[in-house]
Amino acid sequence: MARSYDAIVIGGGHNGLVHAAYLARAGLDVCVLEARPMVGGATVTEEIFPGFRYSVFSYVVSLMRPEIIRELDLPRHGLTILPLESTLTPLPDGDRLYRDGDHYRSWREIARFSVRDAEAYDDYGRSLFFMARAVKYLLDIVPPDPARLGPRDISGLIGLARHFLGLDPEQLHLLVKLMTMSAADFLDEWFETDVLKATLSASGIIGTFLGPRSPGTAYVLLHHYMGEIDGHFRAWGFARGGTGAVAEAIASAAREAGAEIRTDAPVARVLVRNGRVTGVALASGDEVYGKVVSSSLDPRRTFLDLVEEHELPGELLRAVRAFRFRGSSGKVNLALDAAPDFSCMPGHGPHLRGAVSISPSLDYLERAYDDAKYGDFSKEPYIDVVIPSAIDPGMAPPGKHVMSCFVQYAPYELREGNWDDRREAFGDTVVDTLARYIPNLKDIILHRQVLTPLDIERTTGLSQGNIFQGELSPSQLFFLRPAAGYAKYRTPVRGYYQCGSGTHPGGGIMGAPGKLAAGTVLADLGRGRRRRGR
Amino acid sequence: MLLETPFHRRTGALCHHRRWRNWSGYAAALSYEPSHEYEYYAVRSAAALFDISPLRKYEITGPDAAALVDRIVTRHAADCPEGRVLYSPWCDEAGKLIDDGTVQRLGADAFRITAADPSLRWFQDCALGMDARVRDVSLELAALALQGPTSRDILAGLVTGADIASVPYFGLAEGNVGSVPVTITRTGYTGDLGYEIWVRPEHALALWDALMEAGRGYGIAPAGLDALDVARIEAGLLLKEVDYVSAWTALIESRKSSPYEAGLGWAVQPRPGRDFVGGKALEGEAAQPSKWAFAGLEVDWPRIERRFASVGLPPLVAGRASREPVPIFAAGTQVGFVTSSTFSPILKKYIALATLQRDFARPGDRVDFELTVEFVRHEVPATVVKTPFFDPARKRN
Amino acid sequence: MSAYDAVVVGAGHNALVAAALLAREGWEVLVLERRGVVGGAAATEEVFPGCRVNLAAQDAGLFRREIVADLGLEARGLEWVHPPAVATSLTGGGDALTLWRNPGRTRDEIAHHGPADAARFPDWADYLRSMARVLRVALDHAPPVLQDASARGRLRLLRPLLRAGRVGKRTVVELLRVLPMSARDLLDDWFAGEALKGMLGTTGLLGARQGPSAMGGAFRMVYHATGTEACGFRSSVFVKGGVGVLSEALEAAARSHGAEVRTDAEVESILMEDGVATGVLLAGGEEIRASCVVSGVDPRRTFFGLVGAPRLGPEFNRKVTNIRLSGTTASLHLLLDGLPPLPDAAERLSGHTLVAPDLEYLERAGDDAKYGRCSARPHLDMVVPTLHDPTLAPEGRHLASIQIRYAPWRLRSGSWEDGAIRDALRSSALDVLEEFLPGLRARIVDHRLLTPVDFETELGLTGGDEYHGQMGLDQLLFMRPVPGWGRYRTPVERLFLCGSGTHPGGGVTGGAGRLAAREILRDRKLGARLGGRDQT
Repeated sequence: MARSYDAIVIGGGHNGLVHAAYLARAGLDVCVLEARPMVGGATVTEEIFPGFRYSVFSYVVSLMRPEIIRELDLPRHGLTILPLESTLTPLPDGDRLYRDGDHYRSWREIARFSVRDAEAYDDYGRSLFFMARAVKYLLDIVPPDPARLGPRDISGLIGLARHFLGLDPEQLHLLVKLMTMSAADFLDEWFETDVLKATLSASGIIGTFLGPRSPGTAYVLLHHYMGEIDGHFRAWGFARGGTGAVAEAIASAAREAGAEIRTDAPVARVLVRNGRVTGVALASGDEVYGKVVSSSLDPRRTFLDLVEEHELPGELLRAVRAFRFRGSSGKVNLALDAAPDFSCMPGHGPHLRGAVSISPSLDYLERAYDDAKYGDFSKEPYIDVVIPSAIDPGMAPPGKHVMSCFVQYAPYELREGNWDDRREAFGDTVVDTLARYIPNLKDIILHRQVLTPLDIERTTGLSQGNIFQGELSPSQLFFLRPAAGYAKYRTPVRGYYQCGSGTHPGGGIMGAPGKLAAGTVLADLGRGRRRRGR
Repeated sequence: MLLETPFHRRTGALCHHRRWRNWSGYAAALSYEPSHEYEYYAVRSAAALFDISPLRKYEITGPDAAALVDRIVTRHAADCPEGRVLYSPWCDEAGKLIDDGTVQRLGADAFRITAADPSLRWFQDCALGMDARVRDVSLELAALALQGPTSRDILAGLVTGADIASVPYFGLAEGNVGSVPVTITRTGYTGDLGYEIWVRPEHALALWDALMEAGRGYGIAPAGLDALDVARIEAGLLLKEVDYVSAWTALIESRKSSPYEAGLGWAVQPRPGRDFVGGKALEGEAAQPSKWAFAGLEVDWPRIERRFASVGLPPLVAGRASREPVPIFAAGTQVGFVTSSTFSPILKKYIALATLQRDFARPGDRVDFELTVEFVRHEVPATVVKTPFFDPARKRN
Repeated sequence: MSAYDAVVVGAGHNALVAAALLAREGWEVLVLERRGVVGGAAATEEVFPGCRVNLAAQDAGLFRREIVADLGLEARGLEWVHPPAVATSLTGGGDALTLWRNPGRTRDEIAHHGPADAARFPDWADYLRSMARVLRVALDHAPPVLQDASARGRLRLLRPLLRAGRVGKRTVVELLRVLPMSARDLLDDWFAGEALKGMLGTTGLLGARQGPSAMGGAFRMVYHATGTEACGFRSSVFVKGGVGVLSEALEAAARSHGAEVRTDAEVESILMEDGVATGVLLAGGEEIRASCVVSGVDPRRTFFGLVGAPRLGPEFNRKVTNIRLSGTTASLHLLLDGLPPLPDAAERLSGHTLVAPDLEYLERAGDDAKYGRCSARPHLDMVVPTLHDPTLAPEGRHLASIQIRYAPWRLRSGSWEDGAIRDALRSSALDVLEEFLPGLRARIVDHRLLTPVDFETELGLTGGDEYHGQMGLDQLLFMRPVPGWGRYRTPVERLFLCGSGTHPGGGVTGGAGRLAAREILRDRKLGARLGGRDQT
């Protein structure tokens, strides 16, 4: 029973859904095919343990492009983003560094360690604001291709040059530093307090297989600084109902615009005839036809798994094979009988509504990386904890809590043993590490879900469990994401497009790849509203 | 969470109306009574007592202390004699204002600088390669400002170990109030006769009590920021982040100001061979003046009254000082903006501090001040005048 | 009245290049060197009686051949040595893998370890060459000034791009992709053999504190392939008589154009009047006036040591403070009573002899440096200069100069003053060497260790950094020596930089001196056009 659509979107993750929503709103007959029983991909909320709802994988929202929220009218479709405004960094000696929206209190808290750093912190925040504003330009454009230099590429490059050369030179220099330095070196230019540098650098290592002293991590730091909520950069938020609510809101918007979303519909391969896409074959053997097929899967799946090798040029195959994934993170979700009690900030308090970062020192993070570099999970990992139920009571039964622990490093490839055997040992390591700061933790755990990079790959299809669909390293960004000459969402197969995080501007719940790719598809179909600079 | 200053146990008890403002993370009284009028008149006719502890204070010591202070501020600080104070702004390398404050010369190799905002990192970075030490003493010093015509008499009767009557304008003396050691500087933010008294926080309450007691016969009144704001505009004194934006907080280049643009050109004192930070850039600006200049404005008060009267209202702008930016026009074109304005109770005029295009900022120039009456915008004539608007001889004598 | 048109501080190879090129234009130039010999880190001295030893730099393969021709260095005693081996990796148990200057021989050698790698190696050499060719375009021109908003300035910005574009847009794009990569990633894409990757990865460590997994390693690999005759590795070209002969040839060239070179003349500070450099003050109290001062000394020492931070702005000083200067290398010089026992030693040891058995070995060595300690098992890079010129040592003796990596300048615990730390470093290096080159220890007659702190005190290298600033991607082009001051000028008028701390960076390239001289000449011409006030 084959049906034909204008466009088929492979994968119902947030980017696939955003992509579908924009195509449907432009009047296309769109079908989204999702392998799992629910939409969302890595952006899902699941009730793994009765009464407790986990944001299973991705757990915070900050990068979501505000114009997507506006244009798709997501609040009407149920999206509410609650602010997550504090960060608590507990220290092994019982001290802590606590930063929140109270400027003067955060100032005094940092000044306990160093007055100079408290002063520099403001300066740092302002500098990163400038950087985020400078780089934001890139989030909204299709990368020009410097190797092809068609008219669009030339005008794109001129626009880029104009934008960046228009910056204050000091800002431009800072940007170069961000693109090239290690988070630790970059932060050294401002700060002397180890714990401050450590906890700030932590956002530079998220999703990477790099340590805070590895060059390249400063950029990721910025990538996480670009989150924008209500016009404020670096605003972190938590979606009411868990991150799955983001996907559901987008899905609802897409459906309203006429898109059809099929779950439990894994795609086996893309059908190509004479270099042109004709549809997809499902794992079930059914075929679905479409003039356009967009894959929101990562580059490896998009090119190596779904399409026959002979349809693609050698240079693309080589580039995709060399594209680095290297999943480095795991996730531990806990159902708790009571609120966690931190020894550095005992009892209930607003700190439970914020993030808790287990990043007590640069060496701590660096050692965690060293373990992974040699093929083992960190003996003392970096953990980013949020307690969604403290912000959104609907996530757990009254008085009880869910705790989401993002853990790094957990290398996809273990040198000894395999993840199926070592999963629980990994979970124990995480709980043991946390229990050092949360003495009551072990007594209140009702249920534990441990997700290794292998589990992430198995469940969501993300190659090697890389949460960004490929490392965010300068060699894999912008016109190089996923490969030089193929960064404009098109593929060598006519009618076949990419729209996932493996394309510009990359991972995180941002939605920008899905939207930019939709613009490309529509332009190719002659349906696009031509916009300046796109 | 706002902190309490070392005087809070007294000021808190007196601030019946709980009118507080966040001043650098501290709770600071806007006024102790529902209206600040009485407190303002205490400044001009008796003595007003302000808690100015939230100011930042830095101590600079060492063989190169004088050279360092000279490097930081735009004025000739090294030439400031011991026992004297000078007011100066300081700039970044591009010659844009960072902050302003007073520089107290405590000794040959010891200075104290007050600043509106945290500056330790900057001062220390300026000290690189110099034999001088910069210490943040903000928490080690509480401070009160006693301002008004009777302030000298109050202190003269109270302070031992220093001859208050002989402390000159911008002079400094060390003495005691009872058993409490204090530093007294003849400085202030009101443009009137007045003193600032610096004390260790553990003695703060004793100092407060002694002053209030000694001042009772001289009309002393605790006063808050509302009264201070009116007085400082009358005195033509700038407020950071209101009348100029610090180079550190300006989000865009055009928000920054040079001392020349802020009316502080007089405080830029180039000295050969002893370059201060920003000196080179300011040299260039002196040679090629900016198009912006600072100006005091007297707004035609009868016209303001008439505008309000025409809709049946009294002149509703007479209350507190305003920090709302207001556009200034000349022949219908905007030529600048007012940054602070107030009705001056003592001059009975409406006065304002403004940033205007240089061609419209000469004393006597006529411009138009935008006035909104009942949601309708009007233009009211204003005249550029020299500041200070109010400058009593007792301030200096 | 100035006695000189230019006084050049330091007689390192870049300073001598700049001095010679300025003198060639008819300038009155004076070079002042603190030490008794010229060359700086490219000096050859008598370390053991009757032996001439290359103190720090060994390999001069990066030296720009244009300068050699320009200054006629080959007529002034410079003679290149192209040894048969480019590099030999000791792979343990007396085994070795050699990259030969002869590509066919290299291919055969690699084939023993992995036929697939051997087949790819010629492509790799071509690839690296093409990357290096594009990079050379950037390295051989003064970096663009981003602040220059004029149309001409913008055009100048485009010029190198256009030049590079001639090489091929695809190559440029590929270079952009590759430069930020780690040595490990780049090599993993090409080869399977651990020994080969370990060996090739070593150039990715030069001038950096990080191991082969660190981003930017690929850049450093390409950078070191910009020399002449590089075939898949650094070019491995030496100077007969020691690298000091190159410096001496440069000195001779400078003198022949009329420059004066004074050794044992330590500059204490740079004289300034109203923010303009007017000359230098020598340690003895002598003042020397000049129309401009050109410093070959590293930027931090120039600004904080010779100018003095209080004479510069605090914002500029922050930038100087933030220069990542960190020496990570120690040198161990050995006097041997014979060649180390290795089959075909005379051939195999004629290039760089490396202890870098695999990338993980290098990575673990780098880990130690990360935590501020010497590598327990260091990576070693040995050169036997007596194979290039037997006269460097008495008959029957050989010299071996070994670079030990990592030996961080800043130790987290302990101090280089502590003899025990030096001894520990020496013995860990010798232990490793003995393990990979059994029998060497028995041949040692004498030895001398130079730690990063020795480099600092003896050669004036701040932080013991022989590159005058780490060769990270953040310290290149217009970011070198500090952001915004990439064209050899400084906030002090008429004070210029010409050392490795400026673009294009470290290594015995002469590039910085050459480009600096060009910029200085341009600046003065501009001054002359504006009214000739530079001849005051």
